[in-house]
Formats: sequence, structure tokens, C-alpha cells
Amino acid sequence: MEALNNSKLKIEGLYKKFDGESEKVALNEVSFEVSEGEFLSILGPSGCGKTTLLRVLVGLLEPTSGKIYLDGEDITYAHPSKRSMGIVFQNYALFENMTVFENVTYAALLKIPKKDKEKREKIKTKAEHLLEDLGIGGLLERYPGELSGGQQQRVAIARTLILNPKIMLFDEPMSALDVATRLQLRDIIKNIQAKYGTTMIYITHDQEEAFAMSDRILVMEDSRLCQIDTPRNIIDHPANDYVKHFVVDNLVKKIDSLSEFMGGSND
Amino acid sequence: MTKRASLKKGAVTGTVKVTVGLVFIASVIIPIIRMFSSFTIEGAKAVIEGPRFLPALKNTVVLTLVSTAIVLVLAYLLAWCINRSDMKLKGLFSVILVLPMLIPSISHGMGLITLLGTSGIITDLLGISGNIIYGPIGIVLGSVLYAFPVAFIMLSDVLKYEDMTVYEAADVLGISKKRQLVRITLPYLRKPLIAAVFSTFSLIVTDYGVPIMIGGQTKTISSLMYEEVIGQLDFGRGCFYGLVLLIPALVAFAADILNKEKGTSAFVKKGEGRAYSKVRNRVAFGVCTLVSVFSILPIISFLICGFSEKYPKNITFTLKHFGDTLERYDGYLINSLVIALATALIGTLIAFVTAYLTARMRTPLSKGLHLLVLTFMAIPGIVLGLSYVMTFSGSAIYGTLFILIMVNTVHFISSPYLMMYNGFGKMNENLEAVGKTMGVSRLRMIKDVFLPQSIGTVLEMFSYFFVNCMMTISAVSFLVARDTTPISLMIPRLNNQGLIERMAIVSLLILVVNIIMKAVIGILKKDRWGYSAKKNTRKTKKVKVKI
Repeated sequence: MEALNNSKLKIEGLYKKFDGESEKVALNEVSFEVSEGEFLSILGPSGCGKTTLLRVLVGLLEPTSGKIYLDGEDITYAHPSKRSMGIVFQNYALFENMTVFENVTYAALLKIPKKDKEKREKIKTKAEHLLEDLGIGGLLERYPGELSGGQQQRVAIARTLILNPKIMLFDEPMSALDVATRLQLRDIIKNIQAKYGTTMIYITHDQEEAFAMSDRILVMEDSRLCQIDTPRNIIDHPANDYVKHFVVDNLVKKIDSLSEFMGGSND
Repeated sequence: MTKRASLKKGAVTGTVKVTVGLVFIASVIIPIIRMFSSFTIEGAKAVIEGPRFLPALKNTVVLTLVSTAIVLVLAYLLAWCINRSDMKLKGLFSVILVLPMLIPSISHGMGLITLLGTSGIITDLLGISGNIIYGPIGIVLGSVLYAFPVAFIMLSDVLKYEDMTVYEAADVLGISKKRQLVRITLPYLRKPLIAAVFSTFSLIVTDYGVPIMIGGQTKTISSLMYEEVIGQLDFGRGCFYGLVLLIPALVAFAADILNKEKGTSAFVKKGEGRAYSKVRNRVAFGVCTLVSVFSILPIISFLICGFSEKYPKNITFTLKHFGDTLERYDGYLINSLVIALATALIGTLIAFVTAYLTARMRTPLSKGLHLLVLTFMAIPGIVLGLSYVMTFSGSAIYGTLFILIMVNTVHFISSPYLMMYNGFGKMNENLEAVGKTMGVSRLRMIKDVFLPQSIGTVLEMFSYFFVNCMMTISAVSFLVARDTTPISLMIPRLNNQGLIERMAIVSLLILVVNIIMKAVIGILKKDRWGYSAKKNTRKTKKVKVKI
């Protein structure tokens, strides 16, 4: 792996064993680094530990051992709200009793005293801009229940972005969406990243999605890290049979199934 | 936060759960144990060998089973008519059919006597003389009237949310209607049907209002228990009967829990492509009219009886009894309102907090707390009441309104708790995580997100407590003092004095107060931007705006 000069997030030997009867090991000595402004996908099948990894990173779970550093500072046991991280879930988790605009501004406004009108106005303007950037500027007064899945997910993204997170985490944010909406949301997320320069860690089980969006991809299998590299290198040099099978072969299958209709672009 | 600090936080919530659990144990389990600790084998033997026990046991088993069977058949039939036909006036029928839920069981007994007793309205009309209603027939009829609405609501919900696509698939596959009934409907109904059977059975077996009113010489275990405690002040015998009553309730409860643990049933609401059928609609309309009339007749009889000069001899209209009742018993009515409002407030708060602890902060401790609260469902009101007498008599709270509020709170808490528990369970599981990462505290999240989202359920809980407190004659009956008596308990007393006009007025008062409460709750639920209230309209909109 090439040396990273501008390391944003550094993970060292993360190990997580769940208590209880199963004593399942969900993370086994996982170490990697994420650089400033990078888009990193974590790719793996269901149950490989990728969601656990995300929850440990954001502080919703404590690792059994291992360290997490953000900008060189140890945040392994920091409170989730003190990590400058935001998370977007698959099922949106919006506040259904609030309008789109209230959803986005709620947490940010909580932290500003009522008297500070100027600052509050700033937040509101920012929310409007963000929602505009996400293509839902016309839905401010709607309730989540009135929106499509894709629109709801954009509200969730805006709600996270408004707190200026250093790192944004996505937990399979598109699994519940239809194909057209997914393609659209992909572009929106990439545009947001380009505009705000936010570092993004993106969990998915969809190889194609990972390859289309990522600077680098981290492949996981059964609680372990298999490979972390650029999409190109993963294709050219899969670290082991598993990566070759789960990532490369599956992609090839997809391409093959399409190529016969697409004028042999796969040459 | 260090690792230790977060561990400490876990310990805090654990302590809260343990504290809530201990409060529940102190206010229910300990009194029950205290009550049964006074129980002796010799005492039990004396009761069993006595002349009254075995006949009463037989009556209880037979009459409860017969009533339960009738209730379920009727409830399913009516639920089917309402949900599977296109007849007119569905809304009106749905309201009338559940109206009997708002009056005490004893009033149903009274209504039957007014209608079918010696020189009752109907008996006179048909020219029947002699006694047909006092005894087993009356008990069955009264129990059916009393328990029908609960079973009807349960089964109606089941039919409403049944996934109709299965039937469409079956039709496509050419499976006969008969086979569909045997292979699809019945297996689907198994679980909710078992739940409805046990709810109905428990309701009837523990009720003493109907049998003391209309049973005549036919005694049941619960009416015997009431007589021993109220009439003879024989707490020892009362305890034994209480234990007997606890057995079916516990069996029903265990079966219900096991029933719930087994498998999951998918409730998918799906538009039904039902063919329009005039015959079906007419049959449904006829059945609904018949049952509605039967269930509302007792209430109408209160109107006749309560506003008659001297029922049944002189039925000239008069407001005399109405005025008398209001004037003499206004204090009892106020007691009832105070008890009902206070219980509704406290009960709703406790149920909300407990449901939050068990549904949104899941640990092994929450599971224990959850089961503990559900166990309360199995404890009959009169048993709980007697256990309170034996535990708290002589203490400072005895004879106060507070003990009535306390006993009603724990007596009624299981159902509203379960409503809220299910409500919390349906909310997005990541909401706490969102709050945590955005730096919004748990309490703030409850105030700004969970409470507003569950406001419909909260209002329902409030009205459940209120309505049940207004009409209960069970847990409170042994615990009242002269100046704390709620108005519902005036009904058995007035019965003993033969003041049936006033009994009718009291029943009507309870009904009116409860209808007002239901109406207010209904309006409040609609007035809000109300998540639950508007949800359905939202869903249809959602389809339209999908990109």
C-alpha cells in the first residue's frame, strides 16, 4: 500500500468480541488509515463485520481492544458527538414529527442560545443551501412521511452535513432504494464530497457501487480485513481467492451479462 | 468519555430499570404473596368440602366456556361483516358495537333484568311471565354483552390487516374457497384467535358484576369471593377463591406468552380486489343490525328505566331520579373523576417510561421488566384488591384516594404499556444512534422526537386508564372508604337497596363521561399534525410523489 501523507483517521488493531453466549468475534485485528477527503468503501457480504466496524468508528460500540485516532488524537472511547463524525443509516432514521427543514436544523439549533439570532439565521440559511445542493430545496415544509425513499435519504445526508463533520459514515444508504434513485444519489453524494471536501466512509455489499464511487476499497470477510486498495489494484492484484471471487469474478459476471447487449464494449 | 465513564452510564440505566422493577414488585407481587401467605391447607380443605364450592366451580367453568364460545363466534362474524363487506353504515355499527365497553359489567346485568326480568320491558311486551333470565342464562347473556366488544376489536384488527395477496395467489392457482379457508385463513387466525380466546375467557371468569346482579342462586367463584369478602368479611375464604381465580388467569397468560413467542406473523395491509356482492352486503347488514340492537338495548333500557316515575309500574317521564342521583351522589362522581384522571396521568407516565426502558434500551434486564409488567395482566382485579386490603390495612394510605389510584394503576397498566411498547418497537431503531452522534441527549430526544411521534398512543393510553377507572368495580371494591367511593360502586349498593332507577342513571352517567372522554381524545388525535392520525393519508401521498 502506498504511503499516506495526510492521514485523517488511523485505525490500529481493532478487535471486537460481543458478550453473551455467542461470544462472536465481529472485528479481528482490523488496521487501516483513511486520508483527508478520501472516499473509502467498505465492501463485504452480510455479517462480515462491516456494520460493527462503522458503529465502533462512530462510537456507538466500544471495541474490545485497539485504537482509533482522528487527526492524531485518540478518540477510541470518545462520546459519539465529540468525534466530528456523522452517520447516515440505511433506513434514514429521520424525525418523522418534524418537517424536512426542522430535521436538518434541529440538532444545530439546539446548541445555539435562542438570543443569538444572527447565528441561528446562519444555520437556517446553511440548511437551505444544503437542501438546495441535494436537489430537495422545494420540500422544506414536507414531513418525511410525504417523501420518497431517495428524498428521505437526502434529508438524512443534509442533517448530517450541517454539523460540519470531518468524516461522514454511510451504512448501506441505498439498499432500500430502487436502481434509478441509486444512480442519482451516487452522483449527489460525489458532488457533495467534491464541494465540501468531506472524508467519507461508505459501507456497501454492492461491488459495482463500491467501484463506481470509491478512491479506495476495503474488502472484508468474516471479521477480517482482506485487502484495502484502489479499485484498479484490486482488479489487477486481488489479495487472495476470496477477493478474486467476491469482487472481481462478480463484477466480470455483471459485465458479461450486459456486454452482449452493449455492442461489445467489454473488450 | 473514557471507557469507565460509559460503563458507569450503563450502570445508571440498569439502576433505573431495577428501581422501576422493584416499585412494581412492591406494589403487586408482594401484596399477592402476602395474601397467599395467610392461606392454609386446612382452610382450603374446609372450603372445598363446603357445600358451595364445587357447584360454583362447575358453574364457573361451564358458563365461562359457553359465554366465551358465543362471544368469539359473534365477534368473528361481526368483524367479518365490517371488514369484508361493502355494506352501508359500517362506521355507525363499529361505534355501537363497542359502546357496551364503556359501562361496568354489572350494568349489563342490570340492563338484562330491565329488559328480560320479571315484568321487564321485553317480557311484558311478549307476555311472558315467570323467571327466565335469573340464573345461568342471564349470566351467559350478560357475560356475552360485557366481553363481546373486546373480542370484536381484537378480531376486527386481525381481519383488517390480513394480507389479501395470499388469497389472490390461491385464486390464481385454482385452489377452492373451502381449501383456502382450511389452509390459509385458519392457520393465519390461529395465533390471534388463541389470544382472543384467552382474553375473553379471563375477562368473563374474573368478573363478578354480572353474576351477582343476575345470577340469582347460581354462584360463580368470583361472585362467591365477592360475597365472602364484602358480605361476611371472611378474608381467608376470599383468599382461597382468589387463588382459584388466579389459576385460569395464569394459564391463559402463559399460553398467550407462548403463543406470542412462536413464529412471527406478517401483517401486510393490501388492497383487496373483492367482488361486489349485494347478497353479502344485505346479510352483513342484517347481522350487524341484529347484534347492534342486542348490544345497545340494555343502554336504551337505562334511559327508559332511569327517567320513569316508578319503574316498571309507572313509566311516566320524569327527571326526578336524575336530579336525585346528581344531588346525592355528586361526591361519588367527583371521586370517580379524580381517581380516573389521576390514574390516567400517573399510569400513562409510568407506562410510557417503562415502555421506553424496555423497548428502546434493550438489555437482559429490560426483558425481565417487560415480562413482569405483562404478568400483571394475569391478576384479576378482585384478587389484587383483596391482596391490597391484607397488605395495606392499617397503613397511612389505607382508605385514601391514593390507594385506589395506586391499585387501578397497576391493575390496568399492562395493556397501555403493551400499546406503547409496540409503538416504540415500530419506531426507527437508529434514532438513538442519530441523537448520540449529533449530540442530542436522550431526554431531549424523548421530549422532541419520541413523545411527539407517539402522541396518538399516549392519548390512547390516557383514555384506556380513564375509561377503565370510571367503570371498574373490581380492584377498588374492597378498598374504598366512605368518602373515597367511586360512583361505579354505587351500582351494587343501589341494587341491594332496590333503587333501580338510580342504578340506571348512574350507569348512564358513567357511559356519558366515558363517551365524552373518547370524543375528546378522538378530537385531540385529529387536531395534531399527528403522526399516527395522518399516517394513512401520508402513505397514499407517498406513492404519488415518488421520483
